[in-house]
Amino acid sequence: MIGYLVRRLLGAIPLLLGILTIIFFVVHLAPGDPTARFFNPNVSPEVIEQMRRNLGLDQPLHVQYGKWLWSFVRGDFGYSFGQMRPINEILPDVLWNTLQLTLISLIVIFVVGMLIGIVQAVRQYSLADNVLTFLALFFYSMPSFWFALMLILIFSLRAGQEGWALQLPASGMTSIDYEYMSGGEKLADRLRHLLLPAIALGIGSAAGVARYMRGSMLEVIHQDFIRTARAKGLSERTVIFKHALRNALIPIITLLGLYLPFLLSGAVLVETIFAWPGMGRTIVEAILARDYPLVMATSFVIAAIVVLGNLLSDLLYAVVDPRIRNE
Amino acid sequence: MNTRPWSAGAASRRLVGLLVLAALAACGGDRGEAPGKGEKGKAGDEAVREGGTAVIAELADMAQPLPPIYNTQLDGDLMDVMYMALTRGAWRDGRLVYLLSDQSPMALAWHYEYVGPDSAALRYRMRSGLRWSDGQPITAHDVVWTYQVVKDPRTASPRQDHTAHLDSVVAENDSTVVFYFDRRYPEMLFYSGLNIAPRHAYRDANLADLRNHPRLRNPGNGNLVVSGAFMVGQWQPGQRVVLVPNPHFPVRPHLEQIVIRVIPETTTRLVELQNGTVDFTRPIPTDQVPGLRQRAPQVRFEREEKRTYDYIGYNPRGYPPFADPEIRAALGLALDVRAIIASLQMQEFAVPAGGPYAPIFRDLYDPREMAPLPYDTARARQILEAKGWRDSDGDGIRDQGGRPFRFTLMTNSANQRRADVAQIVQQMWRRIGVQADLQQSETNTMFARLEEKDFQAVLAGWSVGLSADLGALWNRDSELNFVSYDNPRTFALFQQAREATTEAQSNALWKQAAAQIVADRPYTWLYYLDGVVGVRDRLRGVRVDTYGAYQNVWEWWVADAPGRGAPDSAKTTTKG
Repeated sequence: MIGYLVRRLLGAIPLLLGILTIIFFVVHLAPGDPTARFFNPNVSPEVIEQMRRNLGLDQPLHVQYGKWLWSFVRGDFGYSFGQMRPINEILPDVLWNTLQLTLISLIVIFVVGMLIGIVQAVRQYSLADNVLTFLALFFYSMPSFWFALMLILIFSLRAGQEGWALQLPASGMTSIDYEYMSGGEKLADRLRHLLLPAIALGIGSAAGVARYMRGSMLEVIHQDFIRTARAKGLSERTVIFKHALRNALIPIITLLGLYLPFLLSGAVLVETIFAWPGMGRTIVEAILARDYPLVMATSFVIAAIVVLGNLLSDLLYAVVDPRIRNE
Repeated sequence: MNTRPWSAGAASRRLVGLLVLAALAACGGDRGEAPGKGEKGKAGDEAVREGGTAVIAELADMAQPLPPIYNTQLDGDLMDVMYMALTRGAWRDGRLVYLLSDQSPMALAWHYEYVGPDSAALRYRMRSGLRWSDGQPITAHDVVWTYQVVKDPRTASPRQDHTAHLDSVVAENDSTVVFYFDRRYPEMLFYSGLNIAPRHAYRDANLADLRNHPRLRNPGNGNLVVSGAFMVGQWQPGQRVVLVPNPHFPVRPHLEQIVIRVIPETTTRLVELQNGTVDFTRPIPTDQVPGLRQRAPQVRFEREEKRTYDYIGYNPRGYPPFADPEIRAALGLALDVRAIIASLQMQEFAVPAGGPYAPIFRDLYDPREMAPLPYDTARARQILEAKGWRDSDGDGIRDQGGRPFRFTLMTNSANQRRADVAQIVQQMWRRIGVQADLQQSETNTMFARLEEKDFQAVLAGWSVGLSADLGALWNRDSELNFVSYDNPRTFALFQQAREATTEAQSNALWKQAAAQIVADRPYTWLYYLDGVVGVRDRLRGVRVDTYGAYQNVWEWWVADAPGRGAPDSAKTTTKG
């Protein structure tokens, strides 16, 4: 297993370098550059040229690439042109912010999705199954940005106007009086701010997991060993949760690793709408501002998460299925 | 309407910037009294309350809040909050005026005088006893250092144009500074109006690397040394900036703190405003205002008046028929701008435009020469017929020599208002037999194409400055003269205007130059627009006008102070 892990990780290095090299040249060849934000009549072309020199943009592209690569292999992502801060200072903050959101979303996705899927499989073709199928497809096909706006309008704006007990914040990570809260209040405040973006980010995927779970459970439920378990006189709860669910989980668990990068891409819109200062917003702002070093650094993180997500899927697959582990 | 910012603090409000930025300014606000004036009326019977927190929602974060290098709109507005200048700009009765310290606590100087044989120098006497937020004295040497940094090419300062006519800046003593210009200019006060940076805090910095200075990377807890009413108490990148009073500012602000939250999405900002979790936000799309008035009666709308205009620019290099000014005029005559304004619910915030100076510029706007083009499709058709553009094949599109009158109208994708306007314009031109294909371009890509003159027609806009010089947009060699405007008569007027020694003389010449540009029809000017700011009623004392929205934050106060954002103990104490 360890040998396999090492081989996979070593194999990821040329893959990541290839991805980053392509991204480097694509973003540099796109029209515009970081000095475009200074583009106004008061700024002379000489000043713009000096800015380009200060940022190292006057050098040939292959030289810029060589310098970037040399810094990168030493673990230095350089300075953000837009934020003028070291990227090594920016990344941990935004990555942690996004991970908070993503992890809560993953919980929403898998807990809600699996429960719905199990209910649907156990009550196949019942009214509950049909209603849940309709709802799952409804949420699955809903764009996350639209759903996010609806959540804000209902649970923040409308709830406030109607005086509902459950009014949730429309944006941000904490309230402005967060500093003055006790430990418990701070935790509650964080969770209140996380709830809407996590739901917006996760609900579509939860609906997808529900569909997978339903199909997987149905396949398992109709197998002989389930009939045997029932024949032994086991309770239905034991049959479903101990025997059927464990076997039905195998394809679902592979989704866990695959959803991670998917959630990061979905976070772009959700983070913008909920003013959540995470990776998604950072990437979009970096691309629009042609903030090359930040684009490269965030691309690296995303690419690395995709690779690790796939690896995680494979490892989890082996954990839940002994046959694969033995192979 | 010089395209230069009046002062560093005035920021992009005073800059002429591509209206890609002013995409954000598709806004408007209550007509009504000038901000502040109406406030006084309301607050007249109420005592100003001390303490409390005001929450602002902005769409982007603070970036590099230092006078020589700032560039973003928020940083520019923060200059008005955090840094003093020798004089303080203000907009009064359609003119930019320069306030001294007896009129504004943000002014460093109590007196100025023109000196030298031809009055080509300006001597300022500064107030004594002023201190930076770290307790160091503010002196004339800070002024000299600021101008040295701005002028130094290594800094690559966006304000470098302020020093173009300056020979030197000399500190005669700690409180007297003299600006020596190469000759007398009407705008010497303007050029000497930059916000001043603290020399002692940045003296050892490598100027090419000033933007990476540790104080800018970590400006909280007083690291950023300022002279204005507020300083940065806390900065959470991408989330919020907390401003707290500068203990050394001569006037104690009423507010205990100002929290500037970063909320990029318009809908979210508006929800926060309606919820009462935000007291002040901008820009508010004009079509949202009627609904907001009904749903949120506690919100009032202030306006940054007529600082932006949208236009259609024609590039003869991209589409040769545009070389004929009559053709360009015909296209303008075919546009019913009032209908466009009405259909986008902008009536309250926009007026048809006819030239580069908006009506707010009392000394520069000429209602006769800069009247908007009438809507006259008959005349438009007549011109096109006379120029040989006829629909010979009956397909509804005019043609000449077998080539249809068809071109691409580009606009930037980040601006919904312009996308809507482009569609209406397309329909209106279609009525006179002209086909415009619409193209939306990502902002950076559009900039690059405009610079390279790789377009046929563009729907864009400018956010205009507060002084008169038109050269930055219209000079033959200006990078922003996308439409290749070229008229020696206009350029001669520019030159004469710049050489004039009094403001009255130069304004008259700028007006003539503007009239000539209008006559040449390089653009079809569409409308002048207000920027709309939404303010909750609890926030009082706010002055918003053409000059900007953050110009008097030390006078802001909240009616329910200390209210939200304060510790419970403070609320209890105050209530008690």
